[in-house]
Amino acid sequence: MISDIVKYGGTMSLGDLQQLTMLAVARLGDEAYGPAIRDELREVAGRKVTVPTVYVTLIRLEERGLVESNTAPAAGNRGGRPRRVFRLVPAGWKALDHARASLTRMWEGVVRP
Amino acid sequence: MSTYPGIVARIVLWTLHHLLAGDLGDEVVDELEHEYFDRAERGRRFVATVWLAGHLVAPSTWRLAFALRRRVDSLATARATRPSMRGHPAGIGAYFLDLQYSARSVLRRPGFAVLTLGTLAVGIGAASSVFGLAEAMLLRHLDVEDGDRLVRVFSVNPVRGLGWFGVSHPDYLELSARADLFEEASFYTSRSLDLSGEGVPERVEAVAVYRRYFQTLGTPATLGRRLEAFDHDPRSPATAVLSESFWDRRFGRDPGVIGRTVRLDGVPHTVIGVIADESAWPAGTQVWTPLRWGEVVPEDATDRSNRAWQMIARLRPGVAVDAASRQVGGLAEAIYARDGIDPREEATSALVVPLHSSEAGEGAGALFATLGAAVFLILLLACMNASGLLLIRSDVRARELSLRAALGAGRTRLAWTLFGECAVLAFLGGGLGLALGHYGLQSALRLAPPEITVLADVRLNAYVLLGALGVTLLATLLAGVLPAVRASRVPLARILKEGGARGGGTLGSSRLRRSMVVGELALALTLLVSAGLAVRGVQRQLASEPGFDAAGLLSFTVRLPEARYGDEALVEAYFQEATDRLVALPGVRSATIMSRLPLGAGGLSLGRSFVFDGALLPPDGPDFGAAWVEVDPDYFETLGIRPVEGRALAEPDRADAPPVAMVNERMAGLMSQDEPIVGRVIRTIDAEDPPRTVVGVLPDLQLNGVSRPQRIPAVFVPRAQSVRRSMAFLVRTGGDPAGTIPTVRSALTDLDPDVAIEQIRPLREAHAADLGGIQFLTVLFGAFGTFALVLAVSGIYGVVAYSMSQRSKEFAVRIAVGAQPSSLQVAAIRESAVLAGIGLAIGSVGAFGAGRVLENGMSGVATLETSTFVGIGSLLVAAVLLATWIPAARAAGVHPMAVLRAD
Repeated sequence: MISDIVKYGGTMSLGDLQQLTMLAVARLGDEAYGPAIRDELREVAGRKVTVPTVYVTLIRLEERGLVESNTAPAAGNRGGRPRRVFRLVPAGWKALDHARASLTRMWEGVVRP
Repeated sequence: MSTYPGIVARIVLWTLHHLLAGDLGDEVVDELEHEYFDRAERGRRFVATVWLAGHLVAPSTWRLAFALRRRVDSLATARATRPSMRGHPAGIGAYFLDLQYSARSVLRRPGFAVLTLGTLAVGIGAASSVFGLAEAMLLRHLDVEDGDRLVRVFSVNPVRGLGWFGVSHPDYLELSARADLFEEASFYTSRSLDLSGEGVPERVEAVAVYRRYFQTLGTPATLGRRLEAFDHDPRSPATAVLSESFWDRRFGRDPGVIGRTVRLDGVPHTVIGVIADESAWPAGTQVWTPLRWGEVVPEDATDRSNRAWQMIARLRPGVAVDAASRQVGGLAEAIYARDGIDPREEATSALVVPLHSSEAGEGAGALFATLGAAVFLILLLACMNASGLLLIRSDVRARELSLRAALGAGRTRLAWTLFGECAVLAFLGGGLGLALGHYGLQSALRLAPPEITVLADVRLNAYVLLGALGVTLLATLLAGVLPAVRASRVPLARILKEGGARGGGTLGSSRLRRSMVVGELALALTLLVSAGLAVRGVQRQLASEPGFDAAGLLSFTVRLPEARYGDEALVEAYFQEATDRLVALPGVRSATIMSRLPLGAGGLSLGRSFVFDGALLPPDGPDFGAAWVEVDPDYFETLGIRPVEGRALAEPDRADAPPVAMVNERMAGLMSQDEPIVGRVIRTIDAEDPPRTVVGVLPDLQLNGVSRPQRIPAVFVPRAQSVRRSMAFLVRTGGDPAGTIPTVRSALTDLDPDVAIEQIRPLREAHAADLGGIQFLTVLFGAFGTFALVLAVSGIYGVVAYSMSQRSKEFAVRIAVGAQPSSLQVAAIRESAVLAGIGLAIGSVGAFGAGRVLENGMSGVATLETSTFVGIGSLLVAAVLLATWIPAARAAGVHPMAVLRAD
């Protein structure tokens, strides 16, 4: 457990898929549950990922304390089963800001030959 | 076949459900299930199943499984605020630790490991070999771009018993015009041609193809070019395309073959290209020639009954085979519902079949269902055995397990350990089984008839490996779940108190052991009786009397090239001269020419429907009517048969003599039961055929091969009254017919070197080759039966003997208080006999059902024979009783104090 905290500590930067997943969570708001996130990744970001991969990413993000999840009551979809909806927590927003800022800084001064 | 992916999908979903814990896991499985059905509904059920099963081995699934477990564990920790020893411990590392532990404990007991491994290897090997066979025959598509979109279109007419027939040219035109279904379409017809010109003349498997044939298939040329539109123009020079293997064999891969001329049936053709075998259709074709316009269109333009063409097509992307089949079926039914169509054609429809499985034929599905059921039973038997061995082992290890539990290992974790052991064994066994199955199948295939070319191509590929992996996972589940669950319910305190392994164990005299013995017996009986039936059926076929003396007969066929033998007089002269030369050869007693060889050995299987006394004959026989055999007068002498009534056909029945016929007893029986029919007149339904006077009745002799009905009505007519260029020869020799092959060959080559002699072999051998298909199945079933017998006997023996040895303490106590050792043995044997009885009773029901299925699926399978049944039943009962008696005698013979002190 201790090693986990060191490994997944907030100082570590976000992976590419993690970043995209968090953005998808942010875009989807109340609708941010697994399959919807997968669809968003495919349609908006053009990333084709399997359902298990999406969930692995979400669990990792949850473990790092960047997102949290709640069981949403059954809606009319998919046989009306309750589902887990994900939401960014302040640490998550911070990590995203950080990622964007470093990316923007890196782009500065880049000139295409 | 149709329920197969459904069951597999359900098993995969069930496994995933258990693998992926917690509410998030449920969500994932729900989503996957949803997506599977989405894909399956689009008509790609097999692909959807493979996609779903792929998740079992995808790293992401396993990463998720561990992440979910971590999450579930941490949630539990948060709730209970105490460390959890339940469930699988955190992280992938611990899982591998357990697996290592499992592997080590497997290796510590090599004897047990080898036994379990062997059992699982046999089961998995049998299952994956049948899967390999099915893959080669039904699943693998042509090696071209989007080969899965290639289909074949057949006509069917259930009322007339026509299944999977070719299509007529007008049907082709209307069906292929459906641009919403088909991107491209073409058709072909197979024919054998005599290839001559360079080297020895030989008969080649040739296919004449309509335009855009290779374009429809998407087959590229490996050398030269494919057929193009102008090749079909009768004004351009005749061209031909060769297969790579034929090019290799006959031309030694010489690239200079392009532009060279070969003679096909005497007509010069220019070789324009070579096609790789893997992307060529139909398999086994050596030469493709273009159909010229004149060859197809004029005479067939309106004739829907000439279904000579095999239609192929490329589906539009996104069009499912099932959907296309429904559409095409509806279209064909609409065509045949039109006015002016022959009323017998009313029920005609059409269907679409994936190209790669079309050659396996209509019966392949049923055959594989039977084989699949058989291997599933073997797998079940093997898993039951392995399960029994693991149970025994967990009994023996009860003390170790309870110690680990006492030290704080969660029950789930103990179960995981045992399950891991089973998984290690199953995967080792799976690898071994795959190798065994592969090599076993390769050797079994040598027995397969050469005509089933696709069979020769069974190989290990991704699909087969995936199938074997699935089978192994299934085996792990089947064999491992029960011992794992039992292990997690070890009554800790009792075992530690009573002294571990000797404390009675979970198998001792439990219901579980009894049901295992009963189950194994029932399964084994079902399998063995089915195998026995198949084997006996073939033996009987081989022993059956053909109705004449088949030994000493040599048979072969010839076809005179049309280009050189256009004139009937030339044909007649050739056959006359050929017979004269053959009879003059040393060792030849007689020789004769006929249209069709007996025993299904070759020639033309012609049929005619007849009118006799105003009634249609045969009234409800096979669609082609009665067999029509054209023979010479020396037919009867060569075969050694005499008419049972009237006279045989003779020399005076020449072309200009009054038309006559002979019928066999079967046909005579159909014509009239009581009145003599010699002297009566019979005619075919074709008004242009002359009426024929019946001059004699022949005994029934076996005309067909084993896979067709044996007692068929037949009419024999003088060959002189109809001239054909394709004929079959029968030569009666004094000794070994194989010995005369060289002289016969050279005599006919002297007569005309351009005429190829085909299928020359002793008639008995032709008959045996015809049996090859059934023989192949028999070998498979025989092998399965042997596996089942070994598995069942060893499994039953192991479980019974172990449980008896567990009772030594009980025996000792009872002997000590005065029981007779012999009465204890009798009691034990009585108990086993009751179990055996129940097992046999259940097994008989299974065997009866399996027998019925086999009867429907294979011709020549016997109905349930008492001798087969009793023989196999007593063997199994003997195994049970022996397994009871030996340990019981040993237990009863030991001095009671020795046993009691040992504790």
